Amino acid sequence: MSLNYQSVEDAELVTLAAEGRESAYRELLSRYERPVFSLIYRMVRNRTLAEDLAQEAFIRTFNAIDTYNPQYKFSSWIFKIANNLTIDHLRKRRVPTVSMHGAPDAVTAEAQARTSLVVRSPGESPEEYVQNRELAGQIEAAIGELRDEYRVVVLLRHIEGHTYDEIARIMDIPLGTVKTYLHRARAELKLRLAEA
Amino acid sequence: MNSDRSSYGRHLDDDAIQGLLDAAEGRADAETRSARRHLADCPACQGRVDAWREVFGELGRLRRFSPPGRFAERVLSEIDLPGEASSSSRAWSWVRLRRWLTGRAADAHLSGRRLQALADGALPRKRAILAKAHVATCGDCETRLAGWRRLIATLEALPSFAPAAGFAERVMARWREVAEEATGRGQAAQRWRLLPRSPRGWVLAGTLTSMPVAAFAAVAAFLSTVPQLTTGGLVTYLWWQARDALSAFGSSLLAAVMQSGAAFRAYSLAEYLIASPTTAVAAAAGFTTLMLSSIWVLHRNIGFPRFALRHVYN
Ligand SMILES: [Zn+2]
Ligand SMILES: [Zn+2]
Repeated sequence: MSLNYQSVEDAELVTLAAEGRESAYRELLSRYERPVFSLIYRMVRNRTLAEDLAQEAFIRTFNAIDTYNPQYKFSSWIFKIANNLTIDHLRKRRVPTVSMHGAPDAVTAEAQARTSLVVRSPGESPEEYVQNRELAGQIEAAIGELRDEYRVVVLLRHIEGHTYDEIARIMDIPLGTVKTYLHRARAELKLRLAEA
Repeated sequence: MNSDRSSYGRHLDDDAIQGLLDAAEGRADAETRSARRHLADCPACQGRVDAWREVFGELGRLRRFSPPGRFAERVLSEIDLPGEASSSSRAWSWVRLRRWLTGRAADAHLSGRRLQALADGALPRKRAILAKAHVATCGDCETRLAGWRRLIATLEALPSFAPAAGFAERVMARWREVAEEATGRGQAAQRWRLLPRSPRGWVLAGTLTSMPVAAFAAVAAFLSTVPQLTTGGLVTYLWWQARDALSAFGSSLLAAVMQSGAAFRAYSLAEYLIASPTTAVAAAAGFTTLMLSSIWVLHRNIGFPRFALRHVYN
């Protein structure tokens, strides 16, 4: 059975999925695999790890599909699950991110380029290193240097386009805190980009 | 106002007052609620709120007057109002009013926070109008605003990344595995779990357990009303009955299993149990526990399995 789900709303897809239609799950996956993976990838900065976490986020979402509250957007829900998983992971295991943009004490651009070629996270394969060059641009490097909470708000707001209220719900923090995080995160980004 | 405090707490600053007027249109946050409490008791702040309300009123009327020169044009183009007619005196009046209200230059620079919010489209309408009016007259803030807009545009232009090919297939396959594991675990848990898992289960289990106790209590209560029967006599009578029953059980068991060594040992065990009252009581207790457990297990297995995870292929 190949129904065309492309015009079906998220909430309706969830209902169909909860009834057990595998094609509805597939449509949700195709809608959210990129945004969910992108968010996690920019958080953990490692493709393999990001895929594992993204997979886990989808499985948790699917297993809990009949607890979904249609009062909220499905995107807020799946991003909440993905964000919780990612933050938990980052707290448990501090991933060194120094490899992407050079040693923090490298003051000149030359020194940065040199150290960024040499210093790699422990256990990072050459392939992963090449993959990580996707995140090597100036702005990506600046995002990578933000603390976790600031990075999440910036990504959710300016890359995923969530509203402030949605971000508050996804991160389980008050609206005022969202505004403060966003303000500080953007100020830090601006500073880093001006320095570069 | 010499002091920034009154007997009702801190006076409201311009931000708080603007927030209050903005909030009249939307929902009130904690800040707004405390501002309202202060306002109810403070005539000084009430006066300032009225003045601000007038400013907002002027802003609302602004669209009716035509722009006389470059300034008003820029304001209006920034503000995005459907411009009809304006008069220079009207256009300027709220700027003067604002200067009077704030006690600082009308073009006091906007904070980074406010500029960011403006660039991100996150200021409430009235505050956005005021901020845009300032930006239109201030090269400094205009440059800073452009900087924030550039940053936001850069961020929004960043690409999204796709996971490696076949990701969706891997997720679906893994999900099926997880669902099957969970179903297997669920059935195992169903089979071996003796304790009830719901309040309803506990009530039922409690009722079953208390039934023998209640029956015993009823018999005891009945017996206490019959004076001819002494407790000692009753115990002796019951003891003999039990011994007869156990003897009969032992004999039939013997007949059934013939004279194998095992049967003989079982018979000896039964004889020993009858000869020793303490062991017999312990055995009876064990038997009762076994009975109750089996009733329990039976009950647990009657309900529908709750663990079954849905995974339908279509
Ligand atoms: Zn006051
Ligand atoms: Zn200014």
